[in-house]
Amino acid sequence: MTASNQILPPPTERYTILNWLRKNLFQNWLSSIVTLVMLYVIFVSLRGILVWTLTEGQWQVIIANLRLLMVGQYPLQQIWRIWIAVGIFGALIGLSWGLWIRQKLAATLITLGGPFLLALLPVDTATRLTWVGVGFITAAGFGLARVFPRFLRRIVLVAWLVYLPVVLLLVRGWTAENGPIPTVGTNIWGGLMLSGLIAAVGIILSFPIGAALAIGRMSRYPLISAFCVVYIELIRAVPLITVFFMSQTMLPLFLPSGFNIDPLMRAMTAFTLFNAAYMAENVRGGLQAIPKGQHEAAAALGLSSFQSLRLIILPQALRNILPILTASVIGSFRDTSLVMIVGLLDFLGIARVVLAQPQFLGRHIEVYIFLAFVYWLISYIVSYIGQMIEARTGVDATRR
Amino acid sequence: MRKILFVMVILSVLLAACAPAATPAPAPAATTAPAAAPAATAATGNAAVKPTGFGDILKGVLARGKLKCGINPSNPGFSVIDSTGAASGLDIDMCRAVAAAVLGDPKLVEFVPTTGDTRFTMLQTGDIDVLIRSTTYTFTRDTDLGLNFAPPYFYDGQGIMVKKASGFTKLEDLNGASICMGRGATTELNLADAMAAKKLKYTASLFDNPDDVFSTFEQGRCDAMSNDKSGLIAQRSMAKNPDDYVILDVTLSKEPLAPVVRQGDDQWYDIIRWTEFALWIADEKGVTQANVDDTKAKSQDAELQRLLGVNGEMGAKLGLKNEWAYNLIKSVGNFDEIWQRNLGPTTKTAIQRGINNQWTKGGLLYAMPLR
Amino acid sequence: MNDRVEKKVLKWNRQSLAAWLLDERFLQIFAQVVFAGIVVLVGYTLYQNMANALAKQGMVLGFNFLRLNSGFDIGFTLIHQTYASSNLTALEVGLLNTILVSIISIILSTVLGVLVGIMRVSNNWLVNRLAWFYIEIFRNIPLLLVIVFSYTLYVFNLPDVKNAAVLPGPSFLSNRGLNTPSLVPTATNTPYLITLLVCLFATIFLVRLVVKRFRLDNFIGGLIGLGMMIILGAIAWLVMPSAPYSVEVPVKLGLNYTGGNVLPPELMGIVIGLVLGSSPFTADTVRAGLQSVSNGQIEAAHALGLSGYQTMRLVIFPQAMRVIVPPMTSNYLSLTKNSSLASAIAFPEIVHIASSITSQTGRAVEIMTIVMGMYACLSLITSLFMNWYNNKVKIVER
Repeated sequence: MTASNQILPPPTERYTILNWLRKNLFQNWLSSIVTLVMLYVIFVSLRGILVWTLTEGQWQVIIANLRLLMVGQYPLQQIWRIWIAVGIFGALIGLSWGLWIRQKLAATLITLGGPFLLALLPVDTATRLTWVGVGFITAAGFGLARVFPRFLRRIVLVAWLVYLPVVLLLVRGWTAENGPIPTVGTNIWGGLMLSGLIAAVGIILSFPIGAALAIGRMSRYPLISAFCVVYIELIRAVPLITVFFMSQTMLPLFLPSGFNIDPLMRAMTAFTLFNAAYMAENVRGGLQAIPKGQHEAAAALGLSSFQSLRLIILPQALRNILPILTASVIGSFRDTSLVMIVGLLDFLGIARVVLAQPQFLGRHIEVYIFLAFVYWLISYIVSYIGQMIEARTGVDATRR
Repeated sequence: MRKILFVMVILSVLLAACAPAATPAPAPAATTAPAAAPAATAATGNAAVKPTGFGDILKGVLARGKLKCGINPSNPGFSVIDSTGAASGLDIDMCRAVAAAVLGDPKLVEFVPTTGDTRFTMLQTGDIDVLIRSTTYTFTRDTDLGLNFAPPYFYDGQGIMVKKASGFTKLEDLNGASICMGRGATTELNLADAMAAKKLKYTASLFDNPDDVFSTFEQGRCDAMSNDKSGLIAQRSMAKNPDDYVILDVTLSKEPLAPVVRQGDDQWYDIIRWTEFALWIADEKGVTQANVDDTKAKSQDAELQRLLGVNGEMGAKLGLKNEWAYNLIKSVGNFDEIWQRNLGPTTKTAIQRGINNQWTKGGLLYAMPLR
Repeated sequence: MNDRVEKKVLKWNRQSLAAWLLDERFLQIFAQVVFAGIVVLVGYTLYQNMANALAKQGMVLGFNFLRLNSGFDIGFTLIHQTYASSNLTALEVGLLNTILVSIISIILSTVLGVLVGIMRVSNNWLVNRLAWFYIEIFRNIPLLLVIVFSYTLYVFNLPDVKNAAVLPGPSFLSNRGLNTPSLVPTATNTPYLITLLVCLFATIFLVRLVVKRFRLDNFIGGLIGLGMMIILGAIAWLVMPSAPYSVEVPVKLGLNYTGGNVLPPELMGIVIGLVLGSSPFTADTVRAGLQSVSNGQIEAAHALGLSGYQTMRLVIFPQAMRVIVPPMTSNYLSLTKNSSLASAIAFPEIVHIASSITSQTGRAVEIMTIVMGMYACLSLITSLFMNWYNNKVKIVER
């Protein structure tokens, strides 16, 4: 439908409201009826939802348990560590936004204003002030990036690379009980923080493994490719929940006695290895989309096989799979909710704990709506950022 | 290419770690033979298979400085997590008692959430040192899973709760009923046995989460819910109108709830048992958090003197400090105090002590003599 | 790889042994042998670790437990199962339930997905946006949450048995589930089925003749055949001395409805959850498929004088299907796998039952192996079927 538009943009019509309505909602009698019916349905359901939300819903359960839902049982005295992680994240987002995606004014305003919006939530003053602080850090990052774009580019990239390990170390801690950064056992990590960490570890680590699997699958060595095929197809054939069950009940058996990793690490390992199989197929799709001519041209230029992979093939493949990568990042984040079934207290898991509190029995719907909203918001933000990056790398421009 | 190869090698190591579906072929004859011998062989120290040795768990706990206790994060009265993230309940306090006895401080405990499916595996693999999760002591679990059960700290029985409006009074009334209950426990097995014995038909709905069982039952999804009676009482007392629910006067099974440890470390097993006995002796003899200092200083009771470390080297025999029992009573209280704190009449989950009283008061709790 | 090896070969040319060692054929074999060796070694070590760990717990790998009594009753079964049935039977029940849920959800989510997909390309702005909104919402919420949520809403908001809603049939909808009438075969059932079979062959034969003779469209032929079968079936029903099936209507007896079929709330919950959770993906696929057919094609079809229906059936549909089928395959596969989430709302599908058996017997390794094997088989069957269908709809190019 857009094909003809591209050749020659048609003369624009006079856009009046009436015109627009006729063109988009009331083209003919059928369309008009549909529109009216839809309007009625929307009105009734919106009214129902609003009435319920504002009058019947008892949101006290969320407000009282907000900390539990966000960070689980993470000790109150140590929460500053999570705030530091959030602060660094805000700074990095601000910097990256300033460096790479500053064009869109509205999006920029929302990004920079996000922390301030969170500061409006009905929580204690300290938390609100901290959000304001995060907001300023983000804005400062954005400003800095505008002033020293050239200088900061590499630094920010490196910072992103080390961000996750640093955060994991910070959240985990390394000193003894009475030290400045005491260790916090993974058994009391929880809430949205845990979901985010599992998702981040799973996605980031699965990428190199997946890429290696994809290359291995396309390898000329039959044994290696057979191994990769078997692995990828086996993992893709079974549900994630069985992989999680396996990680909790079977993985310990395979480790030498006396050597054990904790349940969270097991879940993260399982999640990474599971994601890797899917990632491998994404990467393979990207690799196969590259015309043979590119390989040949690289060879003609005298590039070695590794050089051509690194300089010619992978960058193009990455750009090809960027849209699908965004989708799989969101998918992975959604999938982390399954760790609840093996007893980890992630966002959904801790919600079930909240529902068991004697004073909040039967508040299922409020809690689930809150969860759905948060999951949706995060996924939406990720997909929006994905679109921004796509626009930056010009996937659309070159391919369509 | 070499780099790729190198990556592949590393990968294969990683991947193989998680591709067990290919490996569990039937065990070769060689491994079948010794394993066919009862687990006890392993426990006494088979040369071929090195067991978790005597004292290893205690050493581990002391080195770590924390006790890892497996719990259920959502079981009102026994273990719940409140809005501030703090845990409370009977199971929780039992964990704290063990921590106080071993490490001298009830706060030095990590509560590890487990599910009905993962609890025994986590114990077997050493994720937790002790499992205190309202776990029923049964033959199969004791013999077949490589576990040991300490004495039950809560004698329960499986019961059935219905809505008062339904007018049901006995099991026979439930012919054709649909019944909600928790999964992965003995509940479903006992109900199947009881209903089959009376040739009654029913439909089972099994949930992972005790709270789900009650809320679906409350909404009318089921005619009845079945659970340990303690759980039923706790759920009923938390309901909006507790009087709307009736617990039938039938007991489907015996449900002795006991702490569980893995087989092979008798020292650790003893520590758990004697922690319980210490709580009971203190309960029996009226030693409380408030008067323990007094008792320690003044009491002429020989057993109490031994218990509180005034006389004898009792703690040392367990590999603990001599003040082990003093510490736990001082910081957690005796069994009655634990009970009153979590299941007493002032709580939302009030349960009568009933058969869970001391033997001196007609109950079943009977501590072995400390001498 | 070539040039790198060659460079090295040049460098080391004087030493023929080295040259031989760096010969690519040798390297290729050597690398693979090393790789295989490592895989086998790691596998063996892991197996040994497991054997040791199990021995320490006094457990032996083996499948004997499958023959033992399961000891529990399953709430929803397609085959006969009681607490005295074996663990194997329990697993079979689970597998059948998984298949049932998957099939129902696949059908419903396809219907809903196609509908939303078509709405998504509608010219009506409101319809279009509504479809977009639906897709964006359910695509971004974890499926597990959707399932748990839909089940909760279902159980919390439907009337209880006493006030069950009466639907045509008569069927009864309450928070105990949907009770529908069922057909119970009677004595004349077998002759009736034989008659139907004969009629079927006759119809196929006749329709083929008619289609050939009048050069009809295959689709129209199919419709004619269907109509004939319905009429013949009705006649055969009336001709039989007694009705071949009796209708069993659910009757409220004491606590519950008895008789008829019952679809428990857990089944409804998981189906609603799976349909809501996976139809956005179907919708997006359908949209992409429809938009992949360029306007030129449609204009060309009009120029050839094809009607709207003919354009849809002969031009748009076949081309769109080519784009739609491959992603749909993976969508159906993931739906089948996602049916495992039913275990969170107590629907007894295979994972739910497997973990029940695991917690009763402690046989985690064996049971997980069986379950994963079953899923692998299901995935294989689904993808084989979809490949076959894909080959059918594929446009043959030169």
